[in-house]
Amino acid sequence: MLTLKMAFRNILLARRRTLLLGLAIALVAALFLLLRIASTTLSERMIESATTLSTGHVNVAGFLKQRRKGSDPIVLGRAKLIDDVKELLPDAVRIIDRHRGWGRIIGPLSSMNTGINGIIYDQEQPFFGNLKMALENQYFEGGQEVSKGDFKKLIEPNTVLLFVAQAKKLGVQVGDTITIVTEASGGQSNTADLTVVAVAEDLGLMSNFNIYTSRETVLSLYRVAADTTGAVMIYLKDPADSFATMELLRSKLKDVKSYQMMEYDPKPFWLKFDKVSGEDWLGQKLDLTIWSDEIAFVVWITRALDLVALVVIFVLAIIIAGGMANAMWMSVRERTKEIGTMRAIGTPKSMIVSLFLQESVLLGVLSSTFGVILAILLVLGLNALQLPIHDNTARFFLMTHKLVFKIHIPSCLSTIVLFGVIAGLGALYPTLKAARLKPVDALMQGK
Amino acid sequence: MTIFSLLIKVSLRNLSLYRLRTGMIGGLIGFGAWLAIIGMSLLRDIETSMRTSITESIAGDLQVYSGKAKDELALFGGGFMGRADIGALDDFSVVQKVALNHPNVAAFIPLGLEMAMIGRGNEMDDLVTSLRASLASGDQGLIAERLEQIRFQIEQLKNEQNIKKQVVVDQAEVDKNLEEIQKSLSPGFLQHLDEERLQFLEIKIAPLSGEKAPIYLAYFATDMELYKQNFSKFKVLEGEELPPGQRGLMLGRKVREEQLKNKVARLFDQLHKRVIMGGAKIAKDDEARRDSQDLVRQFDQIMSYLDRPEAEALSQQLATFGISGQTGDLDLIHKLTSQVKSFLEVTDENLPVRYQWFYSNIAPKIKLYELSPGDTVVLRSYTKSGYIKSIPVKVYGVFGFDGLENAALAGGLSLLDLVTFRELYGQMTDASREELKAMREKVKVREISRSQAEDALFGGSSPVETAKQDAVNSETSPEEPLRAAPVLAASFGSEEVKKGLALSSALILKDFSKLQETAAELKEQFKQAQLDLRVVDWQKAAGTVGQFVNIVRGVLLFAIFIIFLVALVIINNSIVVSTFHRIKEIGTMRAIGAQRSFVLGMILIESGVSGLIGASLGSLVSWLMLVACQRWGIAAGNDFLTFLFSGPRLYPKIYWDILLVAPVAIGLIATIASLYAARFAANIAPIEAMQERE
Repeated sequence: MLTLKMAFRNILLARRRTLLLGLAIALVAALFLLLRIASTTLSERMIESATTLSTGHVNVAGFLKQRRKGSDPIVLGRAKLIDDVKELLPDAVRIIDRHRGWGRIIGPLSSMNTGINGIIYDQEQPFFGNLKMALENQYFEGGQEVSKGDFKKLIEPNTVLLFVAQAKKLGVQVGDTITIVTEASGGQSNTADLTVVAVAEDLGLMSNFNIYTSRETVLSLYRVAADTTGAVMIYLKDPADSFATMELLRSKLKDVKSYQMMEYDPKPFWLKFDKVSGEDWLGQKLDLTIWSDEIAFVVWITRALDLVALVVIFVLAIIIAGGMANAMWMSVRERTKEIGTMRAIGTPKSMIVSLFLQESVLLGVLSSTFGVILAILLVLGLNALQLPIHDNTARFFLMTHKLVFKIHIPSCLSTIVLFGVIAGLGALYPTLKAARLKPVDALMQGK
Repeated sequence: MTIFSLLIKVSLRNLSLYRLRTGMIGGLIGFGAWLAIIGMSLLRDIETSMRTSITESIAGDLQVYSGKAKDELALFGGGFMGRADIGALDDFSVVQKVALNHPNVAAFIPLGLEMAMIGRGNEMDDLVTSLRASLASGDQGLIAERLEQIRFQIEQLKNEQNIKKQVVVDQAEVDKNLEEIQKSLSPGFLQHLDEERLQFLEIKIAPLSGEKAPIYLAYFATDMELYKQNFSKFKVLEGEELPPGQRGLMLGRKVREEQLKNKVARLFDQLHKRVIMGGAKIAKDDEARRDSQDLVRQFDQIMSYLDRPEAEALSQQLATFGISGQTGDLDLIHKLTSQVKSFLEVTDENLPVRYQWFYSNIAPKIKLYELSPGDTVVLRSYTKSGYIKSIPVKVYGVFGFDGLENAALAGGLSLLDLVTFRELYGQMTDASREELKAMREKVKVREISRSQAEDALFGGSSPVETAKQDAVNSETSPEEPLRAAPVLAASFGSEEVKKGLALSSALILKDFSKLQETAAELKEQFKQAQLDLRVVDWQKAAGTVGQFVNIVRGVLLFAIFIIFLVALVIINNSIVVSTFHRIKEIGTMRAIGAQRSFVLGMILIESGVSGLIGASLGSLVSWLMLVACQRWGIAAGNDFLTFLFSGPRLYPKIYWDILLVAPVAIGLIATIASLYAARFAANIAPIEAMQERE
């Protein structure tokens, strides 16, 4: 405690130096935290929109090879599979299932390819909870500023839920009809007319690629029997457990429930058709994936960003440590006499070391705390502004339409700890050098 | 001795006296110089390769498209799947005339960028066709072999129908199919084939085998002659060039390699790239391990392409190679299957040999590519209103771009003639209007509205009534393969491509540096000519991908900027701190008559010199690194980098301007950063020196 007091006093004494170095550390800490906030916000947006739109934390899907050269994203024996999964994973927060399809939707203005999700309304309350009904004027020029449409109508067959960007492009409003053309693997195509019953606000890039209709509609579009499904989607308490849960489920489904399994392949299901079509088997195999596999085509964006952030931070850490070392070096040289005096009156070496270390760690912690507060204020300010993102490319990569960041207390705290450690490490060498001085030399040198 | 040389002397003495500080500042600046040089050189490399692969493949320098477009032009894809609605230039020759009036426009090339699906045919159909050929030839051995293949296929169909029965609602249909399959397998059916039975196979059995999942083919249509003149990197790699005035398709090399190549070959290629070229290990690398496991599972992609003599030969060869399969296995197919499977079990050790062996011994026996020059392929496309239109076209050749062999962007497109494109797009030509008129007369009862006319004509497999039915389930009858008679003959007059519909146009400029000015002037010219058009530069035209270059640059520059900022703060900080330490010394200097300017100069020279030394060392190291990278290349560790590098390895260029300017600039910045410290030192009064610490 005494050394801590002394360290604090020393910091205050060398006010100018403290201020300069402290400001530098604070600035870097703020930048560091901002980078981390940006990158975590992005990955969270991604996981949120992915798990809302197209994947569970763990998915039990599979391929049915009805033809030797074909593959369909269908799983037979839906009821038994769901029971089995529920039995094997009693702790799962939620287990739902959706049918998967692919087709082209045609509206009066335009047409586009899209993934089709066949949902069961009663299972999907959390899904609807994550969506926001769009105002009519968001997708229809001259529309009113009210939200029309009703998610509940998705109970009925031949209804469809679109997103703003889709509705705008197709030129439809709630109540209009779109035509859907599916391409079954045999080169046959089926069509159906679907009534738009709701238009939801976009959820970043991925909502462009998905529409939602009732399970019955998909069943009849593909003319498949009722006891089938596309994917059983499992939601866990902690998404971080996804991989372990998948591995557990895989071995249990295989060994205990004797399902035929495919080898783990971390890709979205629609990139596997080609592979499965080339394999020489007929019938059913299950394919287990986790959420990040299904959006592997966008996950690299966060990976790349994380990588850049990591490199920048690493370089900054080196620079900061160097600066710290330099500053402490100066401080040691300045205070050689002081050290000599302390040593002369019997202060042990270890206390000198701990004094100097504490001084620099304290400086690191105090200034990075200041920096963290600065960064938090900046982020809060930005969030309060609710800046809209107009640029399409930025929307594409950021997966959001509003610039809103999330602040995590642990990452704030770990930033402070990290900078304390860096500051301490930087001061280590000069400190050891100071402690090694002989009292008499130190006193002499000070002259 | 002048003051100046004294100043230099004192500064240099100080530098060597305070070696640690000199080293520290020099090191930081050197690091900064290194970072700036390497970062900016690589960034320029990436930008250049991106720009060339965009501008010199299709985009040109500027793109012109309709002002009525609902979406922005995105040559390499926008935010939706499927086509972006960029409107159309109803007659591009009008636009061409205006554009070519501009003194900086060298060429104007019409383009139509679209997507089509490739119909991949029906195996059973192909088998029956070759059976007919063998029957005509009278070769008994051949006939027996074809019959055996057909019997095998029908057995497969039976298994398939049994699985289908578990999935579909309509059980009766499957039962009916099974009945027909049983009939064709009944004793004597295949032995005594007559025309009726052949037709039974074609009409009843073949459709059951269905078509493989369609492949999506992104293509651009253009005026071949004009295109060739202006895009000099274009080169034919296989087959021949699309002759002017002919309908036809040329495949992009990369598309063919990645989508149309035999799956076994593709997996071998991937492993070659990752393991042999990239240095990953199958034993350790997840992706390589998965690829190697997939390889074994794809054995059928070799087996199904072999006939009996080829199978025998391959079995022999594999035995010579050292894979003899299970001994005592009499059945050839059984034996070969086990041989092929063990051949495909690759490890880090045997991969190089097996890769070679596959290409020299197996590849010639199998159909390595699904499409090759000379083949005819059915292109299917959704017309603007969403209905399917099919046109058969001949594949003339495979093309690539010189120096852009591995660029993801340039290689991703195939090339189609303009006339076929216009039909797939759903444009009404004079001939098709005639046909429509005839069609109307034929179906006098039904009134076809203008908007449906196109679908009635181009609907191909989906007749109008299908789309108009209220029922959810309306299926194209499987007996009617997707087929549409071409509206025009295989060739067309060369004037057809000199005017008419195009979606956008590429402009090549004489002077690239005047890109933005020319774009603005063109906009004005079009306005005056009362043409509602948009003009965008290549980067904007490239869509998300082009913007991506901006994002990468932004992120990199931001990173460099931040690192610099922090480095400067630290440099400034250490100089100030070290100046504190020298207060006494400087005070003494001032006391014995040194001018303020002398002290100021001294500190500036000190930091300038240490900066210069550091920066020179930094650029020397960067230069050495760049030379080394130039020799060995920088491996792209993942797909993201492969995309950025436009290939598996980046061979950076040495840019002398960056190498020379960057260190000078950084040394200068460092000197400026020390201004604060220098002024602080210059303001030290002589008296302070005396008072400071006794």
